[in-house]
Amino acid sequence: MPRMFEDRAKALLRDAGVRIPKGYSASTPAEAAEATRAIGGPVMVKALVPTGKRGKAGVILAADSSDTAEEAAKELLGRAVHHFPVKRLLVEQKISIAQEWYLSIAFDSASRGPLVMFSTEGGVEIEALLEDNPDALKRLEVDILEGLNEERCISFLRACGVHGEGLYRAAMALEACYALFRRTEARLLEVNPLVLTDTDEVIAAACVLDLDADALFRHPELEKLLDEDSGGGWRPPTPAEARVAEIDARIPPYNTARFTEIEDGEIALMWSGGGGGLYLLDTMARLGGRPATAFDITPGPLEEKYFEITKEILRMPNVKGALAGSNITSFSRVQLKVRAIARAVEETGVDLAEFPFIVRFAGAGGEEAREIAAGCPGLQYLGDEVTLEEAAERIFTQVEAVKRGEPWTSAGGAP
Amino acid sequence: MSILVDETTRVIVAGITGWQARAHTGFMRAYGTRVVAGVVPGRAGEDCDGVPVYDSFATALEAHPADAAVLFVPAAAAAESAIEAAGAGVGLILVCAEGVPQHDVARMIAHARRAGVRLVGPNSQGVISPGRAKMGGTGGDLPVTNLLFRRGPVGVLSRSGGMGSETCWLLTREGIGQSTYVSVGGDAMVGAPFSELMPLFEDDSETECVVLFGEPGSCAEEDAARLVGEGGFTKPVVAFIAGMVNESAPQGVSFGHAAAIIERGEGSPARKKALLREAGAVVVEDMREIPAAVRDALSAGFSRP
Repeated sequence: MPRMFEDRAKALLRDAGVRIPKGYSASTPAEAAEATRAIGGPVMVKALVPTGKRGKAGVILAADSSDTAEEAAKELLGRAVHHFPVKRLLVEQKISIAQEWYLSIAFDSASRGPLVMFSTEGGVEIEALLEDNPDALKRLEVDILEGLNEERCISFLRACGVHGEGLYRAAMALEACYALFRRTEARLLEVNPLVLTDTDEVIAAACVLDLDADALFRHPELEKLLDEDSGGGWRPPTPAEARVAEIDARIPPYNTARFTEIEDGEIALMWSGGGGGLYLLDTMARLGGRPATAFDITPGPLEEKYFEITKEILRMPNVKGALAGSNITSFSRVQLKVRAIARAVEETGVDLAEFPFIVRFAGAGGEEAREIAAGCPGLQYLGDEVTLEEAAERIFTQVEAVKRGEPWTSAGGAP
Repeated sequence: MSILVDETTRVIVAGITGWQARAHTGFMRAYGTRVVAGVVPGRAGEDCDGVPVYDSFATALEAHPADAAVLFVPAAAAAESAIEAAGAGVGLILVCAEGVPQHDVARMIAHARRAGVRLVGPNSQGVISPGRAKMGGTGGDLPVTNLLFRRGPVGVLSRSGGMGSETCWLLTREGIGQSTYVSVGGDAMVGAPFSELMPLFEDDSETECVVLFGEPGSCAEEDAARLVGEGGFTKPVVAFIAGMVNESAPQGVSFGHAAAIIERGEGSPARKKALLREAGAVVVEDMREIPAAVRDALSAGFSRP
């Protein structure tokens, strides 16, 4: 899910009425120094990357002068966090902390509505909070049709143990955060820590805003604020993933391919359906096989796109065999995929005598698919005579045979 | 008997004039489903393959009392259609669209709850009571439907539409039929999770056993385990949970449905399996073991046809 970088998320918070530290974005050490001078006083220099746990990764540094801020910026720019290069920094005023709180708003699959979580013991990761002191984390289920008003915010936060002047300000911050969560159709808004300063001000010192990719069509203004790496999550795209993304963006229907390259993989998996793809990866793991890809595509007029992506997969140097297919389909026309595969094999010139390629398709379009496969020498077509586990076992043993330098036909399963 | 849908269920199809909806409506009717009307804004008065089309649920219901609606409308329009159907008092609303914005999902579920109607989905492939009727896309055309499903004593619930069908097929090829199969939807938030449908199977005299196909993420399997553990469901449960691979994947990476993310230590397949086993369910590690486990569960009183 697209994660908005902290500087831009904080600007949205500020516009929603939540106080944030004075701060500036910087892309160079000189800009960081300039920002520090403008702030005037000790600052925090934070790497802007789409991952959590930045404190632990050591990419949030304190600086007490423009010189030290410049040094900190030099150190951070050019570093990478979980493979994401640090391209931008947030330089912001260091705030005096009296208390650190945790606040998040996300959807809850149990109540199936927005869930506010709050703790007066913030400033640490949510995982640590849940592990060390789960009772300190309080939950408030919100009826999305009623929303969250000031009175409910106050009574909830009072029950969480917030008192004094900070209570009213924290309630205003919570109300504003909820409004922002709804207005941006976010998946997650986390403010950690929400700081109570020693002058009883409530300031969002750090925040995470994850948007909903499915709702972005309604929010072009938010989409513009996303960074190149915002789609990230765990690492930037590999070259093969970038090429597939380019194909997905070039050939309609757009944005229908989901492709992940798996490090050190050998068997390309091209399996349709979220649940089935997951189960196939499980089955491979159980067998000891090494999947090289997870590739799924939304049903529709997909042949050209499937053809181009299959060529990319066949050209991946480490891939020694492939399994394409799906559960028995009700509606999607499987012959389109098999035709795309046959064309990709022909165009890349991959010798299926040395590269085992199994397709397991049945259901709508199955008979036509079988005929197309028969016209592609070496392509093994399996229908509903096998379960998907059996198809997985077959490609695994064939690839093992190839690795031993034996023909895959020796492993059984020749048509 | 069966749950949710049978040959007496009167169904309205929203978005009936779309090519996919039109095809599925044809398959549904060929299977025995009573489709009484279609709803497409701006298309009132049209006839779609013999089904009269109305502008809204309210006008359709005036002319054709109905028990259920299946929504073949795009993700962006799904919430408003579902909310309209709930407001008009349609008792069962099946939402097929994938990729509905999460705020919309929460809204449609809240509206259905307030109206006291049942919402299945979103991202549901459909509901089928084999040999009786079906709603949604599951099964497709008649030959495939009959390959996948047959009438019998097993209730099947799945978070994956495709793998739910595959589960039914594994049973059908062993001669074990199903009372009703519900694709509950692949999103983290769905209108009718396992624990809300299992009580219907509990009360269904034809259902003797329930099979669950689970995935990482959400609390659907945990809630099902709690229901069984607390005695709210007393028939045998056979469960399979996909996605062990996600547990060994790097933090933040997930394969499969968007909902299949293990967040904050919750929703892991290992925990789901442990809780289900603790509650007394049979949890199998290979899907091919499902038919044997079901046969064991059915044991007395069940004879292979």
